[in-house]
Amino acid sequence: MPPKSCALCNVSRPILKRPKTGQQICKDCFFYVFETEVHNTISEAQLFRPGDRVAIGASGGKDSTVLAYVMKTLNERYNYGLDLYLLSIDEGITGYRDDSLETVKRNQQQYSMPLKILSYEELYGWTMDAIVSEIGKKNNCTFCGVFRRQALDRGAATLAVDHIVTGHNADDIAETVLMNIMRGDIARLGRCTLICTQGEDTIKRSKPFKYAYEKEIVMYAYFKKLDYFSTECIYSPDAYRGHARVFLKDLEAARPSAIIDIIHSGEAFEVREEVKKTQKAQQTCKRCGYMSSNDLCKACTLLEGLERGIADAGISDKGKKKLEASGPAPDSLRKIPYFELPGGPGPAVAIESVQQAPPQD
Amino acid sequence: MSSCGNPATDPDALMERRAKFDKTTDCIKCKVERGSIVVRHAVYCKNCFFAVVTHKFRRSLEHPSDRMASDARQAASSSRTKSSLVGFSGGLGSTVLLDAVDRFYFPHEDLKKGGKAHPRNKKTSVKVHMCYVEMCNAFTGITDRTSDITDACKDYENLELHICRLEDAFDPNWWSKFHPLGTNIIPSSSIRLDDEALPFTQSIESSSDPVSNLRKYLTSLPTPTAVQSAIKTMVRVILLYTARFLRCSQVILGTSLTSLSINLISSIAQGGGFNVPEESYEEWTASSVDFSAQPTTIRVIRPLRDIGMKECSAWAWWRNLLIIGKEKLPINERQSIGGLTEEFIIGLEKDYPSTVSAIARTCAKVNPKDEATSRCAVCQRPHPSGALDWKARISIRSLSGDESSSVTDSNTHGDRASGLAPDLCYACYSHFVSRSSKSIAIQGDSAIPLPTWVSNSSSRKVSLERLKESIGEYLLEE
Repeated sequence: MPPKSCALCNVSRPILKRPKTGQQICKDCFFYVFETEVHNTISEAQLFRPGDRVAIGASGGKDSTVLAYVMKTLNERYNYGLDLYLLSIDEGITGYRDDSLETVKRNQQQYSMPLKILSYEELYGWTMDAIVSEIGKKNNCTFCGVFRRQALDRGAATLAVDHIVTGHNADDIAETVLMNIMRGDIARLGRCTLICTQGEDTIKRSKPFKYAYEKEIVMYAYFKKLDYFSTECIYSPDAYRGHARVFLKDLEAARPSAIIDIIHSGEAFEVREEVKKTQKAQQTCKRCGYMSSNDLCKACTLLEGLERGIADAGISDKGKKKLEASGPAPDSLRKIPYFELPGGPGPAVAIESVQQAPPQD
Repeated sequence: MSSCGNPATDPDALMERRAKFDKTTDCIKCKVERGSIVVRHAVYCKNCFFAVVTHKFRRSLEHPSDRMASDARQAASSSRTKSSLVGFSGGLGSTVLLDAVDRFYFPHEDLKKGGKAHPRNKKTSVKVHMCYVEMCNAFTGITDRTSDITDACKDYENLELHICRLEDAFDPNWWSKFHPLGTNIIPSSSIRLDDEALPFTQSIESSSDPVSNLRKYLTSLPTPTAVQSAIKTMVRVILLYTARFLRCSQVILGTSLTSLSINLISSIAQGGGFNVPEESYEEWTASSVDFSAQPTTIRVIRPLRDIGMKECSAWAWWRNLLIIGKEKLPINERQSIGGLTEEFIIGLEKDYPSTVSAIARTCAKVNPKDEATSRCAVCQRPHPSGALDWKARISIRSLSGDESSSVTDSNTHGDRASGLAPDLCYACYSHFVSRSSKSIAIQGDSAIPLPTWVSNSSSRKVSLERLKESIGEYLLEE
């Protein structure tokens, strides 16, 4: 039988059971604890300074929609003094991304934030639809993931922001910990639980929802009646991540604290020093100037493979050898524009290129 | 061949099964014999299979410092001079382990190679014990298997069998014999689970029935995950104390590569990331609470940790070993993290055999981030401080703003009355407080008895009392 009153305020009727704590609480208390926990995460990690220009990676999905709403709420409530922007990447997936971007455009108006949309086609000359028609569904997530990461940094550079925040939640991080262990990706394992990552040549990137359960994000969006797009990507999901995701959901069903317990585990260990020494040093891509652990960054390798009809050049050793055997890249090859961090304060591109939010009523 | 789509429209929909071997069906080691087994795409004949597995077994049995020995013979003999306790459960891994240990410590005539002077062929004078922990009294309706175990072990005449029982964890008489404090052992305590500080209630009567205390402990734990983990911990600690009592310097467990990967993922999913290295190798000092005795370090080694379940099965099959099987306990495996992980990893091993070894290899490359400050009162493993603070920081459990209403390391530190919580590692604390989504609220009378070693390992209580005792003659009357 449900308790008569909320476990936190002891007054109102509880309407949900928090997956994170198991407590039965009312709606207002849920909003309060959810928002305050995100604020605690931000303030304890000292993610921002007053005056920072912050881009919110917005896909139109539940995580980024709730993130935009909560960031706006906290910025006003706690006087963070941030300039918030929405930054969307258009991968060029007909029937999926075009629809979700409509949601982002509505969010832009609802939250009065400037929006910048950068497309794969604009940056790389290829849409995901074109890539899938070239390579099939197998490995398409590799292209999309690598291209999106760079696109976010490049979009942020054009907005001249100091910081990108993404809607990665606790479930995503726990899943990544498991996945990196299973596939032996020790470099990523070492950094996947960090709340904030920044290389010398990249824009600071943070995850304010690091400790927020996906289920609670959905609950928050549901009770706040937020406008978000909920369809899964039409291209097949990453099979390997899919394995880890199904397993994690089973663990969560058995014991909801498993998600946060995995993150605690990931924070408790680190890569041994002697192993770190064997890892490749970070450098910049000779072709596009983006961070890379090889002469060419992954995006340039993938793009060259696509352009030269050897799509698996960046996927398998066999493809890599085939690309090397076919000689040096021709001068006419399409290349990614050279990446430069914004030099100083103020936008690096004319603000007209950014779709301004209409003034509030 | 399986399909996850429409092969007529999508050529990638067909997922063709990979060939089980890479190049040839001949043995890749001797290159002469026809292969008899495929191990992760490598083909071996029967003789080379035994040679390879034995090599892996010996290498894992060595102490890390032994591997640095300049003389390989010294290194080989070093492991054989240590008295050992072999944990035996009746399962595949421990059955193969017993056989391999018997062949390693007491080589049969047919295995002697390298001449009389080779350390491997010298007769060892060390004692090797076997220990089985019977669990039939943990739940009702489980058959006592001690006679089956005794029968299975009788062929190993050089190894001495000891049988312990899970309820020994709650038996003060057993502990007075095995614990360094002897008859000065502190009686078991009990705690309340309805308060997240896990406050102590009262000491348990020494005459109380260990079986009923064991059952009450297990039935009070809030999730099947916690029950499974508690049993595993009790077996491990009983083995450690038994090894100490028998003056063994090492405990040898039959954890295969598959089991190690299961243990690693399961431990990580239960918050045990700090103890990842202990899953494959650990050193345990028994006498941290005993000021009079010299510290005795017991190392726990898992010499099958590079050998997968498939190789163990082949070893057992070709050596004609009888597998009794592990006891099936009435725990809903689909509702426990350990059970789910086992199902997941064994499924992975069928389709992606290299993933299982990748898990173990990846975890071998990490170390704890912080220094351990104490040892967990329940699992006896090292843990850093701050676990409770971390838990309190990431989730708000009270609106009062009153610090005392949330359990933290700081507000309970040094205050024994506050409860067991600060003496626990993150994973053990979670076992007591994390509920399943279907759990009902803990009711009023929820005191649960604790295993005897918990009150005797709880650093603060023991150290205060025994510290005062050790300096008593210098203290003036107040």
